[in-house]
Amino acid sequence: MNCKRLAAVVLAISSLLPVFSAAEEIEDYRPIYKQLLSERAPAVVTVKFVISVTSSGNEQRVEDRAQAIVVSADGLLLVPDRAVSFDFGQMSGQRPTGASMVTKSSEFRVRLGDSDDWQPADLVTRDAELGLAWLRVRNSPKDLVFVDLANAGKVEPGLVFHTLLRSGDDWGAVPVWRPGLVLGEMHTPRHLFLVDGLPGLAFDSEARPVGFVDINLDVVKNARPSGMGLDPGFNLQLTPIDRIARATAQAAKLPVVVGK
Amino acid sequence: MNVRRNTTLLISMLCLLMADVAAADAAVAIEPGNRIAAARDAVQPMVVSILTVREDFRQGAPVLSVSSGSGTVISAQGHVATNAHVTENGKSFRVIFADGRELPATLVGVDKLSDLAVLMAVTEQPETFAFASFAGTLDLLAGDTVLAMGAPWGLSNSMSAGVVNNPRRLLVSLFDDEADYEDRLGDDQPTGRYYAWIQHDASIAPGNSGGPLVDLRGRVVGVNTRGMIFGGDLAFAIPGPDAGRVVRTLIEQGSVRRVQLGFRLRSLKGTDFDRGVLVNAVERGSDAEKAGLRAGDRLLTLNGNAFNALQPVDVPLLQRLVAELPVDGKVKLLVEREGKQRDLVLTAKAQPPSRGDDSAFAPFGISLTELTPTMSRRRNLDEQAGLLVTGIRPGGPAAIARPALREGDIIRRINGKSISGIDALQANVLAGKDDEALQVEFEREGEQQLALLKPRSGDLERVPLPELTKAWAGAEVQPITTSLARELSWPSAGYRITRLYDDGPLQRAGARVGDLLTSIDAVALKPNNETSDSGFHERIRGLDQSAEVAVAAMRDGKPVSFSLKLAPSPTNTAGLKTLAVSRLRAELREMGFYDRVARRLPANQTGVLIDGVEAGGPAGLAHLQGGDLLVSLERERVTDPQSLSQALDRALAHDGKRLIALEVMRGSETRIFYLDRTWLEITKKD
Repeated sequence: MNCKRLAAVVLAISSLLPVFSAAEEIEDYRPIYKQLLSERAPAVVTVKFVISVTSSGNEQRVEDRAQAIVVSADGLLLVPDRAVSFDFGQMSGQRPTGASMVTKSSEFRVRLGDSDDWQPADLVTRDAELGLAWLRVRNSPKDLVFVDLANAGKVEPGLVFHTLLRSGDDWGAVPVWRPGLVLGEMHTPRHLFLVDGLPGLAFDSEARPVGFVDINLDVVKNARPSGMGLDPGFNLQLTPIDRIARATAQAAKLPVVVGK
Repeated sequence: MNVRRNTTLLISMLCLLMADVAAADAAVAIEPGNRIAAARDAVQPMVVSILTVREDFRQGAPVLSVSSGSGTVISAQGHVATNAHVTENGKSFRVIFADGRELPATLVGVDKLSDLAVLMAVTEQPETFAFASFAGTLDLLAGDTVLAMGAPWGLSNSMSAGVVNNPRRLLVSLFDDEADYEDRLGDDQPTGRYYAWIQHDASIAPGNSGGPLVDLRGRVVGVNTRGMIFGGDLAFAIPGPDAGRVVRTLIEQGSVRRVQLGFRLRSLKGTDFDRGVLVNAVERGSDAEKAGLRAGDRLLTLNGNAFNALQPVDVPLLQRLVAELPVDGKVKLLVEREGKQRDLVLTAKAQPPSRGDDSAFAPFGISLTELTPTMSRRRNLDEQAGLLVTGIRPGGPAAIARPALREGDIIRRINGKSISGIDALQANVLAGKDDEALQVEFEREGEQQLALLKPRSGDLERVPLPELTKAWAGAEVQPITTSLARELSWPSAGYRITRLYDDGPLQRAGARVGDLLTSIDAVALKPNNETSDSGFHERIRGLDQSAEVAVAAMRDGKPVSFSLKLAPSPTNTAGLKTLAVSRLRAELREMGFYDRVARRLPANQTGVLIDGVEAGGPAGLAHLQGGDLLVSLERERVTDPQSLSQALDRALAHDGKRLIALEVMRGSETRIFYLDRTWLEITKKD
């Protein structure tokens, strides 16, 4: 590998790493972590599911796992849409013609709170544009700890936000936290924030939800080596919480999807 | 790569093939200069192609596929000799005769150890078939001309010619332990354990397997079985006399019973001895070991008959003599160790099957095999009864059991009851209530573990993945930036309509292809690049689905305006209903808006889309493909997967009609295909 290519690779990799030159002056994150842990961690849960792809009539199935957020007391869950369905055609900019390979997930199971039981959950609906989908826990308790998306914080460039996740079983299924930074704002074609951090529901320093961070697959798809121009790429986006709250309210009214 | 590795690689690259044969002991009338044609005419009419629908298991679920081979009619009743690997895992068979006639066939018997099997053609009326016979003696010499007949790559009535390279070939390299080479090939692959191969260079390919090797006297001197997959012209055939003996036994008894004495043999090659054969290995715990036989002993006589195996190629005959001893009979051996001879008496025990048959058990979402004593011994298991898990369906009951089962686990007990076979498993599970958790005791790596498992059926259902509907304008557009508009001398930036969907909102509003949309509700449409139309679609999707908005546009340089009443967006592919029809082994989907768009079909076009078919399932055998649009079944229009299923029921209810007509749109053509109702027998039990 020559020096030019090496420089390009290093820069490309560095663009994926978090930037910690936080604009907000936060020197000690421990109080924020404690607040997130006590108020929000029970609503951060893990979902298991089976991805299936059918090729030449033969179905291939793979088990996978994703993070989910409980967004209502009666068991509505918010998950990334790619956990439910992924159209490989959209990665190459195609319209959903049915010609490309589409993964479909099923057999969702969720582990709530401190339970070691995996409860079944059903799909409610998806919003491919927001990159989100909603599941509902089957036979859910009615008093789940949830994140109220209507009680939201404000997001703007320079904001340090906090993503709360849950580790995998091998790591004790414990809450883990990471700060992120809002790097910029875009309005075209839609209103989004360019961010650095980890995918998941983002909270402000008062533990209020501010948006959902996810990988921008359009950008990944269009990613090209920047050569010696060293133009940095941005792979993570934050969708403002107001759009998510509206879609969630719409999803909350829908029944679950049932099979034949 | 050294010579040894080269040799090993050479052997491991040998592939199983498929072919057909027929031969007659009677010498054919030979005309000088045309001996090949005479041999051809003597045998080829009795050569058949074989189509096998086989069932394998992937991720704990059965998968049907199609394979082909060759065979030879060897009896007037329609028995067909072929290779065991041609019929392996077969659920359904068809034989295609040289004249093109196609008949269903049933499996008469299989002998995996010799890689031979017998099928029988099924006719509606009793029929007498022309048949060939295997040569009674093997008198081929290197250089003799031989003909390979069969269906290479499924191309029936094919013939190639070559010469015998070696009439007694054993696939052991100069450096390998001759007793080990069989182990490398796997349990179910043909090894030549009881015969030496005829090596020849008549070209054969996959599809020739089971077909005849014919000499210029018109005799079936062999069964083509193996060849080189990458070029080369090495082919290997089972000698005709050996094949004849096995297939006759299969016809008479359905199987070949063999015995074992608990030891293995190898030749004297590399030793200073010139009498007898070496005992190469003795099975631990066997009667042979208990009687005092040790590896390294030299076996001089068996039931009083002396024999010598100076070279590896001499061993298969001895192996066969041992294997064909009477079951439970007493066997007298004279062995020599360190110059001292001694007599041993052993009991010949029936050879157990090396492994059981695979099957799927849907309520658990697994595929499994009944444990055989051979399998237990190889795994050093204490208990012989049990079921070996060979595949797990992700997300299925076994995969989400607590703890999850894994491939290689051996199920021993269900709710405390011993499980020795699949029937016992089925009975125990069916005896329980639906969704009742079962305690499954299983062995894993020597540990006796317990799992709680909820059996479940019908896990093939497909749930559509609907999206929240958004506002939709019914058009595709091209972004025209401000600078591009300036270069084009257009008065404004905007989105130029490139396609209008039939009866879509913009078409209904009076828009035309070529119109430049410049604003919505007086808010300008200004693309920021010339590649992405998402700015327009995002604006539309952000509006209420039933909103009526004012759209300004330019047409031929003049301003126009529309009152646009938006509509809900069409359902995308993932949101459409899908049905996996197990009896057709096809995945069907309702047709959506984007399917019609992609195929340029009118809005009222109906049909059922085929997402995929299993090659060996009824739909695959009818030559349907993924992407086909099935529009009618027996002239009855179909509109969705359910209506297709109902139309199929109605067609099947009509007796007497074997073929069901399927009208299919594929590419730019409308084609007709036929579904043979007998193919549905393959999936009847599913």
